[in-house]
Amino acid sequence: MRIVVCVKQLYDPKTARVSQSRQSLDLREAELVMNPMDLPAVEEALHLREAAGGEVIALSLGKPEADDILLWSLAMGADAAYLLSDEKFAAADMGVTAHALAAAVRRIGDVDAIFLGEYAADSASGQMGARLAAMLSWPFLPSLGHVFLTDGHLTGVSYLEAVPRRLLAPLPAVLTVYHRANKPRFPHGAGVINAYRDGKIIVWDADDLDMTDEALQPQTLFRGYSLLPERELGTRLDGSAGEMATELAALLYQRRLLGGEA
Amino acid sequence: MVMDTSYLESLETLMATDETTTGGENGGIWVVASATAEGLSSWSGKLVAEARLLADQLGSYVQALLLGSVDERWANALLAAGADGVHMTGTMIPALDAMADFVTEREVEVLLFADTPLFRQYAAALGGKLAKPFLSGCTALEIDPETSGLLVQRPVMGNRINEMVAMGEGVKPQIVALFPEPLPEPFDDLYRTGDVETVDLPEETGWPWAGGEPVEEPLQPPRLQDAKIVVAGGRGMAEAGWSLVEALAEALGGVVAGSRGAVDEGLIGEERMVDLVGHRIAPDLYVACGISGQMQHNAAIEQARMVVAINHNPEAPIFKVADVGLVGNVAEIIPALVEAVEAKKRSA
Repeated sequence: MRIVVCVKQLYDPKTARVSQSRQSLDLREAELVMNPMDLPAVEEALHLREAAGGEVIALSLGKPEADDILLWSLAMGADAAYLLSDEKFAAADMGVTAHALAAAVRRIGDVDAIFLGEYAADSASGQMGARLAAMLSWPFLPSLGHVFLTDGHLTGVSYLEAVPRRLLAPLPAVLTVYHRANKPRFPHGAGVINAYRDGKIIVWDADDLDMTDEALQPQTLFRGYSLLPERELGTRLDGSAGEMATELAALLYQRRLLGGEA
Repeated sequence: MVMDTSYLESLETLMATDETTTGGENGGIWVVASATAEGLSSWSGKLVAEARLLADQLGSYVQALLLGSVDERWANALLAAGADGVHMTGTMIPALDAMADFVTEREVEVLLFADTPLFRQYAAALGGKLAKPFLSGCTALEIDPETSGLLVQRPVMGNRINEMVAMGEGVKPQIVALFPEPLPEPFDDLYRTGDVETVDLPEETGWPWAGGEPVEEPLQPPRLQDAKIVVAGGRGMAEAGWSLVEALAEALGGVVAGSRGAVDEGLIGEERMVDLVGHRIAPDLYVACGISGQMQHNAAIEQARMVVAINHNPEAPIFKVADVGLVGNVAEIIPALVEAVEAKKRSA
């Protein structure tokens, strides 16, 4: 069983500041971290390796400093790590990134499953798993927990919608791991020291992946930021308990806050 | 005197050209709508109305692909909301390959989905299949003056700022998923008419769209600092009953926390305390029940996106940091709120 786990380095949204005057993000003091949604994906892949045997390969597309999250993946227990890094990826959008990841998976070879986090905490797109699966024509299992292997099939419980469902797909398959599926391990000190001292990361550029100019051409263009409306504090609701409750429920619904944790 | 009739000639040429300029079935903005035997989904009309606004700016047409029910009544409702044509199928989730072919054959320029969990994944897979861009989680759509394509607004960085993203020049189709809840209800123009047809699209039988058996499995509770929704109780909940806090958290799909007062009363453990010396949190929604709002507490929720306060004391400091305040008895308000939230979720 060869499992590739895709991980992404990003600025922790909690440490990023919003500059009201410049209508932009101020990242000067922001911390680069592994996407918190990817930690359960790594954990679930390690779980599956422990149960079914095989190897776990961490894969990331990013700048050279993204080696940090790959070393962390090795410290958690991954067997190998690949970094796709090239200045030609600087403007990569979802499509370009999916192309590169798919090309890397093909070049790694004999991959049985690709694990990803549900979404990246910065861009909140939540589409890489489905896009990769469609590009590779592999089955796709979204927001999965309790993942295991049975008779050569991957199975797990999908928490995509309100009612969890058990899904099953033959290998090879792509899945995203539900953010509450497990408790990601924190590697012990010796593991971290060994990984950061001896960990090997294989770096591939766009040529290694045989990416054409067309595949490198982004189809979406970042145009800047706009600020959210400022919070207005101190509003009070009027009426009976029932009236206030109904008004608040409608307001929460309008602000997309009634969807629960999903 | 000679009349200039050149405009008549250009009008005739325009009328003689293909269907796309006269509201035909190719090109234009397509909306994926859905219905059951009971009626249209709550968002179908809203999306069509939004597409209408864009189409009017572009001089384009709005076509609705209605999934799940072949019924003239639903088709007419979509026409009234602003569609120029409705294409109905009983299929709930069209096979990805067939949908990709359909979108290509009809030369769809913009394909608009509702950003529900399932349709987001479906649209992403369709984007992968077509090797075309897809933007999820959009909260506003406009036309980019440079490319005449879509310019979308989408919240990023934990909903703290919006990014503006334009579709590349000449890209077709441009696939987007829009959060429908904040959109206004459509203005129904019952005199609007349009073409209604039935289309044949096979049901998807692959993964994960082909169903699966419903199950119940225990999950790790989210960590307090990761939770999107936090419902916290204070000392004021000792008398009213802590179970009210838990019931509201359950209804909202959030996690339970407490103020220092609640911890002192033994209502909740210290590991769930919201306070400068406990957890500082930044959820999308924080509901404070019976919490007066000491400085140490209010500072710990500074980064929350929205704060709701329920307290009997109109002078409580918590109201100064709350977006919405409800003054009254928690024992009455919380049960009413649980009921209202459940009712709203059912109707959505």
